[in-house]
Amino acid sequence: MRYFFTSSLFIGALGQWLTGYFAYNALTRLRFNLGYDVTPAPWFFRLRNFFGEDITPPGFDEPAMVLATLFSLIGFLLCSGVLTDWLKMCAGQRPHLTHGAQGKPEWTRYINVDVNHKVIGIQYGMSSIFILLVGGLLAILFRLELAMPGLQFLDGDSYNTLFSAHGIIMIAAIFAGVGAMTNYLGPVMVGASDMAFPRLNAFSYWVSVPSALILIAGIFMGGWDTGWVGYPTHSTSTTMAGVQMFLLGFYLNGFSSIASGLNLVVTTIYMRAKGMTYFRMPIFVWAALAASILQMTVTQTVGVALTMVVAERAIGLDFFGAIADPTLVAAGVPTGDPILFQHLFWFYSHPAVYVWILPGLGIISELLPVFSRKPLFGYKWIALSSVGIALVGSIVWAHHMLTSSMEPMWKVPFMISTLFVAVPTGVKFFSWVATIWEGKMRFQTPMLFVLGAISVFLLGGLSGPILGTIATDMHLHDSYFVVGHFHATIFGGFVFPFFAAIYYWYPKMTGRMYNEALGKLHFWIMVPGFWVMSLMQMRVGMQGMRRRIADYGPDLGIAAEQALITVATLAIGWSILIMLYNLVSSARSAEKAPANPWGSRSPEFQSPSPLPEFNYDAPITVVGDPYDYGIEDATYVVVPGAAGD
Amino acid sequence: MSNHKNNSSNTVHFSIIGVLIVVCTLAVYTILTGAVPFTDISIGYGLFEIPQAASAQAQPIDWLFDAHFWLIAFLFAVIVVPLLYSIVVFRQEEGDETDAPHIHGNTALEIAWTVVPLIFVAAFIVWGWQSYFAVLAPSDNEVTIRAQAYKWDWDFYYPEHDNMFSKSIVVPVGQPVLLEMQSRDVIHAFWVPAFRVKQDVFPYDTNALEKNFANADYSSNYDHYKPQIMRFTPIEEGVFRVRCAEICGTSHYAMLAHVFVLSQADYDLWVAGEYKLPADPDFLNAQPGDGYYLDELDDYLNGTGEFDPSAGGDEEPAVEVEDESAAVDGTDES
Ligand SMILES: [Cu+2]
Ligand SMILES: [Cu+2]
Repeated sequence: MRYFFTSSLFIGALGQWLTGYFAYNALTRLRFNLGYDVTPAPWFFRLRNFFGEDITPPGFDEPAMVLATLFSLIGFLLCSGVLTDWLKMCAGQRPHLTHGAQGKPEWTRYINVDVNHKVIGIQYGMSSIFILLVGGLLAILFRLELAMPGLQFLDGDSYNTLFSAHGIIMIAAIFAGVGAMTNYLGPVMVGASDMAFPRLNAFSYWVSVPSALILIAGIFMGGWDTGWVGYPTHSTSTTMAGVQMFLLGFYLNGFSSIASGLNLVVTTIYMRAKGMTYFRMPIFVWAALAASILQMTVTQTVGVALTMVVAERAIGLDFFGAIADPTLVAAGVPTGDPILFQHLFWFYSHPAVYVWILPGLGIISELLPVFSRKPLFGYKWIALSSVGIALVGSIVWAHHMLTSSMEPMWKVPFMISTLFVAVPTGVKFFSWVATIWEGKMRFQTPMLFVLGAISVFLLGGLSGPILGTIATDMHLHDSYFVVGHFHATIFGGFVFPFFAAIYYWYPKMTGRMYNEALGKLHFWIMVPGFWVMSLMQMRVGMQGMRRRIADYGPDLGIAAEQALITVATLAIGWSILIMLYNLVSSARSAEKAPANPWGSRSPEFQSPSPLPEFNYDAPITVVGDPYDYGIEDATYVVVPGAAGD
Repeated sequence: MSNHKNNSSNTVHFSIIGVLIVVCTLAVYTILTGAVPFTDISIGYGLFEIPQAASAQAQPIDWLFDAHFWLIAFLFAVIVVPLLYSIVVFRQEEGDETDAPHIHGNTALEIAWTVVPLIFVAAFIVWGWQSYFAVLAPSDNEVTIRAQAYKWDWDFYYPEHDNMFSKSIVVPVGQPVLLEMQSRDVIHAFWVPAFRVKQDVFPYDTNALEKNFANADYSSNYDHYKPQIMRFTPIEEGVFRVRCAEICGTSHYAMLAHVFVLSQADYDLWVAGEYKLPADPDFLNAQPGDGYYLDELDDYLNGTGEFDPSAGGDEEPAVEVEDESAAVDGTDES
């Protein structure tokens, strides 16, 4: 306990709340003294309970809330200590990178600022699962509401807050999960001892924590009803002030994305082991590289869009036409245009989906050869298809706007580019099938999750083109079909591969083996549960159910499907709790894992479990191809001092 | 997958898979649509059933839907059949710890499965293009109806009838309609599932809307008048629900309106103020099995049945339409 209360996590969070508290207090006092209609108050608590009552104190001041939130982030960063080394550098000192637990128990590294990429990877992983549970809980709440027609225990505003928060909180969880995989695996797979910029790496993680806290806090500080897209003019005019917390949390999370993307790109380019050419890298590194390049280059536009909404709300700038000043209009001054936001937003948010799924698809490609005992079929094609998806995926953004006020002709090129995404995606599917073909497959839990991922991602992929052609999208746009499609894409492209990765590298991370029976139980509940959920979501969408609605009419005849979706959601929730129990209990008591439990050729499995502080005791050399299963004595890496294999 | 010792057994495998892919494609198509391909047989349940089409625009769209269902069924079969086949046939045998054959890749195959999807892509680009422009195409005898969306309701105006105001869209069957839509506050979207078409409604020129909408001359006075347009031609008589499909706040879920598609004779009566429309039914109070959409209300409108308002709680069953504003008031009270 003592270690917890002195950890970066606890002190950072405490510092964040205190800074927010005092900043709001000071700012409202200042503005009151300057003559604004503001009540000086110690706290920007703006609460809306589930009975729909707004119990906001009078005189609430939104601009002060925005600034206080920004200050609160700085408070977290300063108190957690992630900036300490940089501040010392500014003061002319040259602090050394510190490694290890500093005399505390080993587990305390995971709740303190640490520069080791594996520690950061596991920190991301634990955050991801925690945030996933929060987002999942929100989903279960509003799924219970939707199980029957009629409003049972939520009203419009609380329902809207729950689904909006579910969306963005899950996105924070996914980014953390991607960070877990790329940080833990990236450097060790290219044979490096750490990331190129270890302090920046720690910063990437520690900025994502307060931004996730801000998002979660937004639920209680007024809530918001804009969905995770936050389209103006709704986001600029809604009275639910939690929207500011959503915008800022989303925005600040972007720092984490940009910095970690940059870090991985530099690491991959400059820190590969001797002999590791680009086409000898484990395939996951290709996927992570493509995702990182995207992350590093497109996140800025959503930052711009979110800032504009924050500014329009807080200080009245007019970008999106919420303010139709009659005198301006009469003078011929055009007001803003809400479509601008949608372009900026989707220019980022479509590629962002590829940031989430490319690493997951990389995990699929990485694990299939190991469990099929066969080379990865068409390595170069799979590697380049990741880059292809990233490139094509950058020019399809307006397929999210096929029913918007865009010029009808301008929708056509986006339909065309969207359909082209099918080509590199198809290359991946066909190569996976060819890898499995004649493979002597073993069905341990990681392989089961990989196969489940392929099946679910197929469901997501196949339901894509029907949304890409404009005529059919006119029916399906903003319907529940989109919800089904999107969840299939994300579960197949991120969630299932992420779980596969957790089970697969669990012995490498902890040095212990998980419980195989519980792992399989998790799989056999979650995959059928997901199929039912997703197919039923698509079905009700086809029949006319809109997305983002707190209630639906019985006239659609979809009540049975809705109940089924809710049951399936609960099954998924329980299966994830089984996984958590498995991971936690196995870490304490399970048998010690061997260095290479899967017979993998990947470099990290040639080093002991858990990995040493700097991954390899001496620099490794690459002398062959990564997936030469089926050839006696084909060597991939030479790891000095490794025992035997 | 060539150069391998058991080429002949591969031929057997591929033959079996070929047959299974055909069977699987037909089966998946049947499950998706509920219709057995190349026959008139319906299995009574289609996973991806679409509501019955009620507009001319639905025809090219449904044609494209059907093409997509074939594509989904075929691609599903192409991936899942060999995948499951491998799992069943090639899985590790008990105690076999050796590796599988070293098959590295096959450039011809890779090129094939890059190029063949390109052909599908090309086909869907052409079909997507054609169906889209079929949906956009104007007709000669269009009637314009102006729609205003706001939190959380719809208003409609009939420029042809001196900007007559109505809470519902009322059109004669077969009449092509050009909807000019505008929002007073945030983005909404107009969607009637049976018509298939959907259009977001943007809040352009909210200033002009503050003026008297009904009397405004948009063509000359307001440079900023930029309505979003959408076309539909109803081909079935009945009552259809308009659903706002863009999240717009607290009561987004309840932002509904109705399209009454009447016979030409009934429509003329309605324009003359002599036709009763039922009050806006409150969908939250409707009970499952009412079917009051295409059954009871339809009968009611066609004068062959009685509209049973009991499902709608205490609201008035119908409003005498003396003049248009009275109709609105009556509806609002309900
Ligand atoms: Cu997209
Ligand atoms: Cu609306």
